[in-house]
Amino acid sequence: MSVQKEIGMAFVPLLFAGAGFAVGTFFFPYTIPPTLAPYFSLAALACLDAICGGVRAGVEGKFHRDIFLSGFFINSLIAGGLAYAGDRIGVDLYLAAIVVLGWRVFTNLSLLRRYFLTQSQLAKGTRE
Amino acid sequence: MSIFSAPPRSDAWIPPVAVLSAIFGVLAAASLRTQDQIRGEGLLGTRPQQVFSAYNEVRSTVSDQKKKIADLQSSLSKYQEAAAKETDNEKLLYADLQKLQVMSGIVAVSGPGVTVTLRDARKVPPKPSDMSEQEYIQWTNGYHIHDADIQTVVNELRAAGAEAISINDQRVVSSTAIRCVGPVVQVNAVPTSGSPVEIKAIGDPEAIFSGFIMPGGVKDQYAMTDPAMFAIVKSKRLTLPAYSGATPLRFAEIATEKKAEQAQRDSETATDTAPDPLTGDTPTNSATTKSESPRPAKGTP
Repeated sequence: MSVQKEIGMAFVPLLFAGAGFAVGTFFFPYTIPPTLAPYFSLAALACLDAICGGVRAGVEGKFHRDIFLSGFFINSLIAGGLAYAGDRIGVDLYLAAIVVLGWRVFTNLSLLRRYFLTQSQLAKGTRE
Repeated sequence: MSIFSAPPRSDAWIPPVAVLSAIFGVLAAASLRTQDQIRGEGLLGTRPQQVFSAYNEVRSTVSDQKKKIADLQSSLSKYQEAAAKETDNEKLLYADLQKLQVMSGIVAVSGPGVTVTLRDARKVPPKPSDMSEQEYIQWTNGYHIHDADIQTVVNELRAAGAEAISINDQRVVSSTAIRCVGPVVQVNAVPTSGSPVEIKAIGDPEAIFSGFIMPGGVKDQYAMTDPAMFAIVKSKRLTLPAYSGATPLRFAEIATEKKAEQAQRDSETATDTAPDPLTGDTPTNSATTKSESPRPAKGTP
């Protein structure tokens, strides 16, 4: 598989995310009850984390569907549970979930970026 | 194994990741719309602290505005007083104005009257074990003061000729609403304590007092549950605060002479065709035509 094709594959999820956003915007007229809004934002962040992790694992060749799916659901549950418990006891525990998930998104994306940069440089022969 | 030396790999990861990406897109769109809606409704956020601080902000704005209204009204009355000293005509106008101000409730007034105090019953009977929670609440309804109790008292006061009424220092004016909102009673859209409720009225103390304590009157309604729920005291001198709310008039305007005359004619007809309170008879048409004569001719001021 050429480097270009591989990079192209990594953009497939982006395409689908765009399609999903369009569907959600134009064909899905529901809004979330305001009290549940923070939980939904958290769920969206957990989704984003799982996607970045999945792409990275796929590019690394270590992708396992069970790990991917179980990771997504369990992480979402933990994030939701933390947010709920934090609301009840008056400590903003949801920040913990946001920090960890956001940090992982950054890590995975930076690894992907470095990987593709290295690959394209190797292909062009500008890197030993 | 570092990702920089990874072996050739399959594309098996793409479908699940793509599906999740699509879900993410829908979620993000819904979240975005919700946040837009929350902002559109003027709420600063959904977290309790934000709502709380917004509430406090609005409250302090309201109290500031009320102070402003009071200031403006006092300066207005000063101007009116100054203007009244000029000529006889203006003096007459000023006297009229003062009367209307007292009637409309936008000035503080004092005079003789009564104070009616309503409070919840001291003892509520315990819940029988064979009664459901809902039935119990209904059963003990009469032991608490509700908006209807206050309304009855206000009605009775007006019937007995009270000229000014206030409920827990909220002046009752022509636009006043008295209603239960959750556990508190709102008067002029201002929450007041549900119990005790202190209703002050200026009028003939004897007439009002006897109206309340006569057999079958308002006082008797509470005799069965707890006589302490209702108390009435006569006073030589009471002072009632001015109405402090806004007085916007957006829809009503003074009718043109022609329309006013028509409305007057309609109301006279309605009064004449109402059953006579003594005989229960409906007057004939001749009575209606007779009542037309004492009406002033068109164009009379």
